[in-house]
Amino acid sequence: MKCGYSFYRAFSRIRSNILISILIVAQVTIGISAFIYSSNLLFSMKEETEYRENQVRDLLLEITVDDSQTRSTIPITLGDLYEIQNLSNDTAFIYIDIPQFIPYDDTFYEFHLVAIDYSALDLNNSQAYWEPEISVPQEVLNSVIPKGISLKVMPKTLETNVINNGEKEVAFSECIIIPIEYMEDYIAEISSAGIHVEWSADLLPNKELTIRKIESYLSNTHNGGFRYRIISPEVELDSFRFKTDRSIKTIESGSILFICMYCIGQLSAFQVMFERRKRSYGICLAAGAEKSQLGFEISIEIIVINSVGLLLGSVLGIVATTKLDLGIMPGDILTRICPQSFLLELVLVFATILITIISVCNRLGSNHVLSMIRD
Amino acid sequence: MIKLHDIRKNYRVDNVSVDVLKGIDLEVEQGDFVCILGTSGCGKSTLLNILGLLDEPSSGNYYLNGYNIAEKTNKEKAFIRRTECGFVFQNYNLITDLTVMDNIAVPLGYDGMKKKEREIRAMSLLSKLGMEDLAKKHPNHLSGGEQQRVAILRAISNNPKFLLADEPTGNLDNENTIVVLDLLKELNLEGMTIVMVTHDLEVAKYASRIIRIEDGIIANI
Ligand SMILES: Nc1ncnc2c1ncn2[C@@H]1O[C@H](COP(=O)(O)OP(=O)(O)OP(=O)(O)O)[C@@H](O)[C@H]1O
Ligand SMILES: [Mg+2]
Repeated sequence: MKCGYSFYRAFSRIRSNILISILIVAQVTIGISAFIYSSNLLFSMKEETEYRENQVRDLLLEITVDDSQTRSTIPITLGDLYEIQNLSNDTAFIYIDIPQFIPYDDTFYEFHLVAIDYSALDLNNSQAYWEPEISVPQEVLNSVIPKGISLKVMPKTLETNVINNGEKEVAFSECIIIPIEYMEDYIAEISSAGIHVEWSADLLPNKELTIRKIESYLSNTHNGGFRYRIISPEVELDSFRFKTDRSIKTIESGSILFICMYCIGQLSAFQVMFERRKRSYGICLAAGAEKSQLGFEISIEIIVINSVGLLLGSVLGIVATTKLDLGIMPGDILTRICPQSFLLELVLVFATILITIISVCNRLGSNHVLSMIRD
Repeated sequence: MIKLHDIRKNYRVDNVSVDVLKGIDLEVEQGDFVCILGTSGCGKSTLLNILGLLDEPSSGNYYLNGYNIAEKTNKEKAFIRRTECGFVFQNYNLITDLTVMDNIAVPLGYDGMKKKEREIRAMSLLSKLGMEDLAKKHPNHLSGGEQQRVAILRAISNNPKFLLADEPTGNLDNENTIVVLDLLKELNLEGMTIVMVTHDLEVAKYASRIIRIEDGIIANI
């Protein structure tokens, strides 16, 4: 089959029909972007739920700063940490994330210095640990770890551990680990958000009581400068779920409605367009075109218009995902750009293209040349 | 080159079979200029459409250059339509979205000719009739006579062996009728085989042979 001319004719049809083509593209764009946006919400929520359900340590100490709080006080002292560990029967996972950003030899080195309570990890208190793949020069490392402590390659069992820096998990292998006993050397660099105390609910004996004891201990010792709360992200998300799920469902069904409208709208648009062009197709057939060539032309036009809409819709969907906050997601959960959304979108558009092509080509096939010319 | 044997065509309208062609036998030789005459509704267009492979007879055989058309696939028939025969309609049937040049090049395009070559060919055809400056215009902006001449150029753009014209002057005034008929006559003199349908005896005089259809059969030759 000779294809070049079919491309030429398909594009000249789009050009001479530019207004309708643009309208169809707009329809595709709106449908797709709404779909991408809502799917991203849906999948982000799913991922977040899964993530929280699978967290080993599912109780977290949340420290919030009161407005009246003065800068000089620190939210938790080393003594507090020992007391917490004591109250929770040595089941707490305690670490302080001290992000480092160090210039050396014309380069900036960025890594996490993490002060950890070694007691739970069975490590040697006179040693700092690192993973050589981190590619930070020895000199830089020596400058940040406490004096009189030596650097050792971390045991393989430790590498699989993670810390949570608020937004994402950071593997131990990307961190320099030091004993928590040295935290006071770094007081100036520690923020309240950097202090992490985490438990696994299953391991905490007498859970409710212990939690209350820890909370009241911290409030009492810090004179109301900070608020302390032990939360379970999983349970917290569950309490938001009803409202969130309902909002997402609303958007999702709206977008599905859009997609249906897009599919039906496009189908009817191309059917109407076929009626309008029937005579022109008939003339081409009389002049020696094969029906397969015309079918190919029609397919090109449908595919081009949908692809442009798909592209614009995807871009708009991504923009909406990152920039448009309708206040649906609970707390500070980020709406992520999820590949599944795009996969689904591709399937939908592909199906629509296929249905449209089949329906229009079917009409082309069932029409007789003479009846097409006469109309 | 064209040989029809006992061609019949009937239509079913409301479960009643209407015989339009009732056994046409016809031979057209290379270089002929044949005119088919007959009253309105006698089946002239039906016959011409069968000759142009736009329609199929209900029975009978159509041999083109010795090949039985009934044995050809749709693809092969399309090939014959764009390379061996040109068709001219009473109402021109130009494509309004396309320029004059693109209209002329339609059969060339579907035959796989490149854009540059198509344009050169279309322009050379237009210049033969002194209509180069119409190349970029759209058909709606042309007079009837101009449109029909463009339609004839489209029909002959791929150098077909024969040309079929269904009342090509039916929509034209006297002056344009003469221009179009002169063009057909000239093509015929250059060797083109032409079969033309008309009900106008004056028009028929341009042909070298007149066939009259009456009651679905050929009355006399
Ligand atoms: N698709 C069809 N279905 C039913 N009847 C048809 C069809 N096409 C043509 N006819 C009938 O066949 C007969 C011949 O039609 P045709 O168009 O061949 O006539 P014609 O000789 O070209 O007439 P005119 O000079 O008016 O163009 C007419 O009576 C017409 O009604
Ligand atoms: Mg007729």
